[in-house]
Amino acid sequence: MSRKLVSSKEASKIIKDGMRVAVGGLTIHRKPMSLIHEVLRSGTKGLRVLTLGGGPDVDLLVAAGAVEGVEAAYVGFEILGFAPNFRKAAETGRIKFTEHTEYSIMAGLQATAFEAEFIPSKLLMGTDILKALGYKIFDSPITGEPLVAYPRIVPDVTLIHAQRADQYGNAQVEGVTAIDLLLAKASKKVILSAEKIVTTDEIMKVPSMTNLPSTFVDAVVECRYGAHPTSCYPYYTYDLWHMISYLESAKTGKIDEYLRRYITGLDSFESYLDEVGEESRKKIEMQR
Amino acid sequence: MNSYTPDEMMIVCMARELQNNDIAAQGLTTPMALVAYYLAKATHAPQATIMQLAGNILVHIDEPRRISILYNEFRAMEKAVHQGTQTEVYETLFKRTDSIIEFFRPAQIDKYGNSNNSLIGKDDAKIRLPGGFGIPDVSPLYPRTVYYVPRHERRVFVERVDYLGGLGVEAKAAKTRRQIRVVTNLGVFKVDADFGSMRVHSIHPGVSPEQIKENTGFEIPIPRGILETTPPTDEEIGLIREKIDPLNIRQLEILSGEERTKTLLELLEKELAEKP
Repeated sequence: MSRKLVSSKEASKIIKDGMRVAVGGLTIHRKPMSLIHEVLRSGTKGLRVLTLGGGPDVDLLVAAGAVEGVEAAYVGFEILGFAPNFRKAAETGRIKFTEHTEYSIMAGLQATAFEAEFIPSKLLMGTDILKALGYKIFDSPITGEPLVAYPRIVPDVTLIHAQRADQYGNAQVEGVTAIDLLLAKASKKVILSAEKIVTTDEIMKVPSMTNLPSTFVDAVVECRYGAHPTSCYPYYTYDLWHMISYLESAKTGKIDEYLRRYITGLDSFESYLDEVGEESRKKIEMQR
Repeated sequence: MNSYTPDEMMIVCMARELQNNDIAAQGLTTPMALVAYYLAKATHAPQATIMQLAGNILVHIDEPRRISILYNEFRAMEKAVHQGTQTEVYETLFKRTDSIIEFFRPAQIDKYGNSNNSLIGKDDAKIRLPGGFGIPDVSPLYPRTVYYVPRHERRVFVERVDYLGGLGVEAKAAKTRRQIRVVTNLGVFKVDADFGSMRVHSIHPGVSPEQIKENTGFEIPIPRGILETTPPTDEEIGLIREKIDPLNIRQLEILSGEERTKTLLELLEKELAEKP
């Protein structure tokens, strides 16, 4: 096993203009926000973002103009409603939105991960979502029934935030695990940030908890509160207050101000956490 | 008899759809759906299994649970017997299709039971909604699909959905034995392949047939002598208000705009004060 521990700035160099970047987590849960901030600071452009359920990750990338296309089964802030920058950009055509469902994403990733050209299935037949995806329908060589060919989905890079990992990238993901492991398997490269970097001895205590092994990981970054303002069970819940003020800034045309104050005008995610403030972090803290 | 609110009437109707050996799947944050699952568990369906997306887990619950906004994932994890992935959730849905129950909230639903959470409007003036997530995948597979609509109005109940997401009963892919239920603040509705379009199953007490016709964007037959929905019992109301949702988080599904944000912030402060 090789050591993969690097700074987030170093790790973000893997991401190049125009790449298809997959994002782990789900909506407002365990999004790799420190890595997203690094992408925004690096000025990378023309990305195609893919995620099962997007939230502040997708909305920020779109707001900052880093994105050309979004592929997702859902983009929103759950109980807080619409993702305003994403919605506007999708409605005006500034970005190309490809609406997937959970199945169409998982099937495409499964095909890649299991070295298949496509996954044949009946699901989604007859829906406008399938029509818009433009996937081919063919007759099954076994039953003669029409089937949808769900083609491979191959992300160039996947960004994942884990609860803990060792320096080799043996990681443990808890809570809303979503499809992170599948993304890691199907992706050419994986950048992992972890709330805590622990010793390999610590990882070996309960090997069954290591659901994302180092063989699927290319770079590891340590970042406490790395999912803020989304949640990271069991350490902290989501900072809904921060997200409400973010949504307010989008609604009142002050998104550029938000980006400067919290991301592009700062040198690191640590500075962002300082700007968020200790009091806000205390509110959401559940376990150290 | 206690007085009850329209959302409580709806929750009770939703809970009654859950049978004792069902697997209840909870998707994205939907407080009314979760209250309904917990209520069913605490009353007529104690054996039901709950599978929560918050954690991609199976939870074991042997007493009425409280729902939460701020600690939703944490409360679920406290009762987890298994930590899986979303792929595994789908594998469970496929294997146990006949016993899955899941409550979906559509932005539009039409006469034939088709649903849409993708796009509203035709041609240029379209509104992009957050997305159907898993509804278009799995709803046509289930023998019973339950939708809920907290505000029964014409813009939700349309002749034809603007964009076809979850398939109704007319589609070829749908199983003919499929039953679709729609629980609203006015009544309970049904769509099945035999009749082909939406009918009234029961009308909530105090609601008139005219109210339903006025708020539905298509012709809906309401035969004379239609069933009245059985109102919530004192036990059901007590469980909802005292055990499952004492902070009244469920009202977030009814409210909109500024009022909703204000209520949400108040609820968050209350939850913060009770931080586990």
